[in-house]
Amino acid sequence: MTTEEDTDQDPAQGKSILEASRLNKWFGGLQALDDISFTVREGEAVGLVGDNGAGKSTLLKTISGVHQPSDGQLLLDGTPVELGNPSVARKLGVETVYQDLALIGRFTITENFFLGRELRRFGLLRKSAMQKETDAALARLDVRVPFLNRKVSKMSGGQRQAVAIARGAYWGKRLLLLDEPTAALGVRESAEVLTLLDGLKRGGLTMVLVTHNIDHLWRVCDRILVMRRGRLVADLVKSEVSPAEVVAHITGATEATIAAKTSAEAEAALSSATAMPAEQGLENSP
Amino acid sequence: MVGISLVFFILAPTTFGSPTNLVNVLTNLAPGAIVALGLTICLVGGDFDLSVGYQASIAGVFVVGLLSGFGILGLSGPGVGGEGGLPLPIAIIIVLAIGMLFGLANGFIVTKLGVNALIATLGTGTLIFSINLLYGNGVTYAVQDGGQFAQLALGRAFGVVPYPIIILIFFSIGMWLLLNMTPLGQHIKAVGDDPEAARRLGISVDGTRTWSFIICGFCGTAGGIMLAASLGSADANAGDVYLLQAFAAAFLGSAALRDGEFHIVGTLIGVLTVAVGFNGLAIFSAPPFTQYLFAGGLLIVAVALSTLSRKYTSEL
Repeated sequence: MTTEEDTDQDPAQGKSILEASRLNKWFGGLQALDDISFTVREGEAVGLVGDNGAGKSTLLKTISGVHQPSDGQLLLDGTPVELGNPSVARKLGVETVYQDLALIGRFTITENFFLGRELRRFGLLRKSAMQKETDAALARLDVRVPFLNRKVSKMSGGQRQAVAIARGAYWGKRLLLLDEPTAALGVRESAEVLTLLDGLKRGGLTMVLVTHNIDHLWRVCDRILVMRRGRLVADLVKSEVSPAEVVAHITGATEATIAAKTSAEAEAALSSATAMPAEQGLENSP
Repeated sequence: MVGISLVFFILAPTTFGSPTNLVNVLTNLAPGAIVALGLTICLVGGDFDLSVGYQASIAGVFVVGLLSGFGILGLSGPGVGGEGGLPLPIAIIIVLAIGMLFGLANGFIVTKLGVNALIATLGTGTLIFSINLLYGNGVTYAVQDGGQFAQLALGRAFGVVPYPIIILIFFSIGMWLLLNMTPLGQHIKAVGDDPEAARRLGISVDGTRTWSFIICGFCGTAGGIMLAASLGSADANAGDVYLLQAFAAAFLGSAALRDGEFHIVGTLIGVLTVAVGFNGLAIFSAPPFTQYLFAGGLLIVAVALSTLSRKYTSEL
């Protein structure tokens, strides 16, 4: 097992894959995203955490093109993009693994891999070409599934998750977005999925991962974005913080501490507690 | 199907089992089989089309009317000897196009207006029957075209194989290819299985469903045209029975072979079963009530078998 530090890049360097600049999203009178800015660099695995309703899903869906920001800008590789719908994002190499996986149960792995993007010749499917591509992709990602021609509906939850992630990694040349990839899985299956994610990271894939599980967050991610009530309250480098501090940001305990002290004391408390103070972290982030 | 065939074969080996009768069975089932193939596409896509029977009926009335000089609006009445009638290929193309328009209308009502497919097609079927009565006054008309149309049903390729069987083979291969070898077929299967997942993968769910209704309309009217050719006349209700037969065939087929999924080969097996049953009853000149007893009973048994086989596979 290689440690993550071996392959980590310095987050401050590397080329910017995704940049969100002052994203806002309103649903009627409700502000789901409040002035969100952050950057994801090449090869980074960024964890997106926060309590239920914090805005993680809205943010993920905005990056994947399901939602359009009410205000603000998304940049891919430094170029401003308008993601009018998920197809646009996918064509730009931004792939999403949804929580419900979006797999067709009656289809085989290959059919799921290529659904909506079928290889064709003279209007007919090139079945053997797609089969070969899928086999190669699964071998490359070291995903082992017992029967390739089996219907997905007859696979275990972990296998299905692996298929969905492998499909995302196959198409998501630029960025892979993962929504709670381990939420529905047991311990052993979670471990398999985490191993798969490690492999993808070693392969240089950039990912943003939404999770509720702090252990999994720690295992996979280099950087952690914490959301609370639609705002990005912390942008943390994993090696500089402890899990307890992340939890404090999620629950708002850090903010409560600030409120309890004078602003000077708060600054001191925060700079000792975290490398990047919550409020300033937001402003200072590139 | 094997069971039913065997019973009739043992009871009436000379009539039921004769090669002539088998060719007759195949020739007669062809129009209904084509309707059932179209319905199968719709069912694979997770939709119902209750208007197929009425589409088949109106197709017969339209094609006979066009060949006999009624005109597209049906205002002129039959010309003598097909005077003013359209040439056969043009009449057929117009009627098939009308069938696709019916499918487009079904697709629009179901996807854009959000009406449940069962109710929507019940409604459009009734509207189509109304157009049918408006066009042909509900009267049975004999074809006035000098016998060309009847050749479609009575002619034989190389003097051996009846045209209806050739046409059925053509449609079967075409629908099988469409469903199994084209991206549209993949999309229809995906939408039928999990529309939300399909949508997330960038498939136009509404477009795919509409296409399956259009294909169903195309097959429905094609079957109606062939039925009118074999009857040599247009009857306002001629194709109505195909609705129930097509459903029974498709559901029976889904119970055979594969996990309760609808598929082309299964539907063909279902069609054979239904046809063999009706043919056997006819050979024994069973009283009319038995026809309906068989048809209704078979539909229920077919759907039950289909549901059970799906349940059984999902529990595996």
